[in-house]
Amino acid sequence: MFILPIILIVVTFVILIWLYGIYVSVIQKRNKVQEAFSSIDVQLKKRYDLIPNILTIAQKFMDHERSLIEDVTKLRTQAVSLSNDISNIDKKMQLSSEIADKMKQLIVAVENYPQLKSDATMVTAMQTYNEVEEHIAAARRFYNSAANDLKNAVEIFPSSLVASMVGVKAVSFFEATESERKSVNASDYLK
Amino acid sequence: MVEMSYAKMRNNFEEKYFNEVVPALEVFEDERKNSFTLALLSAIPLILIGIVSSFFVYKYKNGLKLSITLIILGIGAYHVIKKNFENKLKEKVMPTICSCFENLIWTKIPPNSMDDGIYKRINLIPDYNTIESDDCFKGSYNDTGYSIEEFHAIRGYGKNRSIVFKGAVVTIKMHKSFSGRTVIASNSLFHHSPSKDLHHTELEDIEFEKRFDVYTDDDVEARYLITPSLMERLNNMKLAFNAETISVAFNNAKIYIALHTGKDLFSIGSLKKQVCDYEQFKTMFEEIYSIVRLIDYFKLDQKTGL
Repeated sequence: MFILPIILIVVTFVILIWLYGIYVSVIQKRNKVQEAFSSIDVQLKKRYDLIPNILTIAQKFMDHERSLIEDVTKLRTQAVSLSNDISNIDKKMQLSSEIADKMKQLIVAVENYPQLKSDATMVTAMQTYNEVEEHIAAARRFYNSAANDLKNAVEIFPSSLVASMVGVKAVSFFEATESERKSVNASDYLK
Repeated sequence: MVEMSYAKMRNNFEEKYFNEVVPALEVFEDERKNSFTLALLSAIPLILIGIVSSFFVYKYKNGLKLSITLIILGIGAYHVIKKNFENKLKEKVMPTICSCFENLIWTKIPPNSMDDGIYKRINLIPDYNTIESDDCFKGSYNDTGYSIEEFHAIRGYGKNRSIVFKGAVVTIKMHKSFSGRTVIASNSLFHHSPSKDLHHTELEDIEFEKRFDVYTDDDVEARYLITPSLMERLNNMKLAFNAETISVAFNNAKIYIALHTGKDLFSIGSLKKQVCDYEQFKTMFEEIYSIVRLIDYFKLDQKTGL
């Protein structure tokens, strides 16, 4: 006689534990996305801190690239002023891509200035910049992996139910922009 | 460039083998025959006594154990004589063979003197208690320092001894700078981390994920080190020496590659073959060369390697 209520209580308890497990998993995935986003920010900051050093050295030699140097400076200022909020991710991605594009042009243009190319400080700065770019690429991969896990949790039943109940939404992936997808024609930059 | 380098090393090896190694080893041919005879005279009687006695002593307590001990002693005696002879030959010829490679030095490490627990600490190979080392090489290739250490790692003592690793570990100095720890291990069902400091992380390459698990304390750094091109190279890598598995650890500006071969490497001085048997030396040369080529294969001599 008492067995049925007991079974019902146990089953309810198990279901609640299971739902709680799903809830924890969804929150963990959301937090991982935040963590991954922050890691991109850390790497971007390193890049933005490095850019003025490169531009200072480049300015001494690159008389004909003033507009390119000014563009990079302007974009960097805009990027640095953006707040560290995940809602700014699209704007951050766009600025990051534009800066990367301009820096690529600058790096190729360095080839036209042999004195600058062989300058020891410039060589070190470029190597450091390349390492930072590799770290940015790694951070983006980590972000995309976390965003993918969160997207799966938000879209696949039963975690989708829990996600919609607590207001957790999927985030956009870090994708290559149109300019990044275009193949680079070195002759556009080399004189 | 790489193929020219290989051709040059190969020519060097053949020249030195015929001009220096063969004349140096010819004097050992008689000793080889004597050692072979001694080894057989030591091993065969013990093994035969062990086998024959087993039919009579099996009914006694510890009778079979005694028979098995005699058989193992016989095999052990053969192995010891063979190993002593091999070591003698290596002392004579290894400096010459190593001179075919850029800056390569060979040493015979005394047992247990090389182990400071490094391979355990970096979770490159399973936990072990002792190491029995064999050959060690140190060199540099294209300005990249490396070492090769052949050993087997043993867990447990006495009757509970088991070999958890038999093969070689290649340590290469990396031109990439990093501070964390990342391990690439063979794929497992439950992704059980080898250390509480490391967590499992999943990468994009599906084929890579089927074969390997990655554990790290820094997800970004793991992806900085394990690029898509590294994953592809690991997938396609024709395993040096047909290694059963490989595992990789990144630690303290070095990459450690463990090749689990399950067999002895860099072996020369077979008692059964002529002391100047070319195939033995050629095999050893190819074994060393295929390891050195890992530096080219993974582009570890470049700052943007892997």
